[in-house]
Amino acid sequence: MRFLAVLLLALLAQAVRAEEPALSWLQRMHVATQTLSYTGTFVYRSGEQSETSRIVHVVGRNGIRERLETLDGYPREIVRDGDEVKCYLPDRMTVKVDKQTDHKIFPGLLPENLQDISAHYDLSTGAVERVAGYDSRAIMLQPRDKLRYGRKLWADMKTGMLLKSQTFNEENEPIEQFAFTEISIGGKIDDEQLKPRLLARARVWHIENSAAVAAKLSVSGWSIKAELPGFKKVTEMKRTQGGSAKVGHVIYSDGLAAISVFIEPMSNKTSLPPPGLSRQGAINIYSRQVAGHLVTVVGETPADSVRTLAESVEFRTP
Amino acid sequence: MKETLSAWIDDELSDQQAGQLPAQLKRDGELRRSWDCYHLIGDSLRGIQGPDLCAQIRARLDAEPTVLAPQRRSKPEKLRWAALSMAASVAAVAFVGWMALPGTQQDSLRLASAPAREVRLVATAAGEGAKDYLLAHQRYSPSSAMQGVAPYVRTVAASRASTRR
Repeated sequence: MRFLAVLLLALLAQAVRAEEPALSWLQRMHVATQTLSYTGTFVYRSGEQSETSRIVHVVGRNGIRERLETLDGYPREIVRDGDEVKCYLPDRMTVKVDKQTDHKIFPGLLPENLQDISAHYDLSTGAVERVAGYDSRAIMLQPRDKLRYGRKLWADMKTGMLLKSQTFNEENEPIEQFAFTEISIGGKIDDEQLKPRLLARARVWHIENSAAVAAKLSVSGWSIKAELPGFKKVTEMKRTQGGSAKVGHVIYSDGLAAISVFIEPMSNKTSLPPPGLSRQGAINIYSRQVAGHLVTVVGETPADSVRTLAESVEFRTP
Repeated sequence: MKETLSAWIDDELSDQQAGQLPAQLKRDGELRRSWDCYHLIGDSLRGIQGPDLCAQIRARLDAEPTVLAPQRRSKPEKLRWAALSMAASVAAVAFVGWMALPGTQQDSLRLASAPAREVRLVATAAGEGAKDYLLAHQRYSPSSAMQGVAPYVRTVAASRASTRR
């Protein structure tokens, strides 16, 4: 009996050891992306769709500042300054402004989240491969159930910087990839590179502020009944979106993937997403109507996960 | 009767001979099923559709989620919901039908043997309507903590796809 216990412990220790390097790689990767400045070009690929973007990421005294500009397709620009993200959408002559309300929920990969991750994914390290000219360590995250997608991440051996990321579906086929083709890590980056370039494209910009504030949706009669194992409620808020104020937004996360539940009055809607399921890369979107409201669930998870949450949304007159 | 029907479908009847048939079809459910069936047989022979479409549609409609009607829903909304869910079923069937075209035989076999619930979860490409949600969602994903604003390109890509359309 004692022999069995010892054997079991030994096996367990073995398993923990196998996960440890992967976990510490994740931790390293997270620290690197929060502390290193870099400029680079990356390619986003999903199915037949492929798009190249330029990214500038500067860590300074006042937090992180970033600028992303798409190099092919229709020009778009995302500029982040600390808690505030601005999306310049020249086709609508609109700047969407979103300011973080809940400071507690960031950064995302804290040690306690790492524990969550290892509870729902099998972690392992892979071979050393070259990505964008850097020797990189591959880290695999295999989901333990069908509620989440698998990931493979590549980190620079020297700095820990995340250089490539792939998402796999239930059949273990890659469905989405982000990969740097060229990156320069560290060094001095000119402030000029952080200034939005698309500003000159339109003379008048329509500013759409999300005006997000913390809120409790249960107070207005809404409840999300389903519980997806491992997905915890991170925060809930009210925001202005697409011209409609009072859009409820609840966020769940398992430490790696997130699911957003949006609830908004139908009367405000001018264009509706199609009812049922739609997809963009590794993101599934499920829409349905409940009590004169549109419920839209968005997540980088398999379709069943977003659908389960969407179909469990209920309204009761408070 | 069925022979007459078959002859009509094959365009072998004169207008006069066919005269009463539309009215009879309207009255007789059995005859309508035969009519559907003959068309399906014809279509399958011509390789236009997979067989057993009626049963597939029925199975899918049966598998539609039960709508838990909230207390204060007005009638027109109910109708609208039903219409939308019907439209979704039809769209899913249309997609399966498309998948069953020659050349993707293996896919169609896999889909045909899968339970109706899985067939229903065929996703369409996210369009313009999804843009705002994608933008609002991106920053709350823990992977954004590592990738910075990079995941925002998903949204960009989606809107590009919709402008092309």
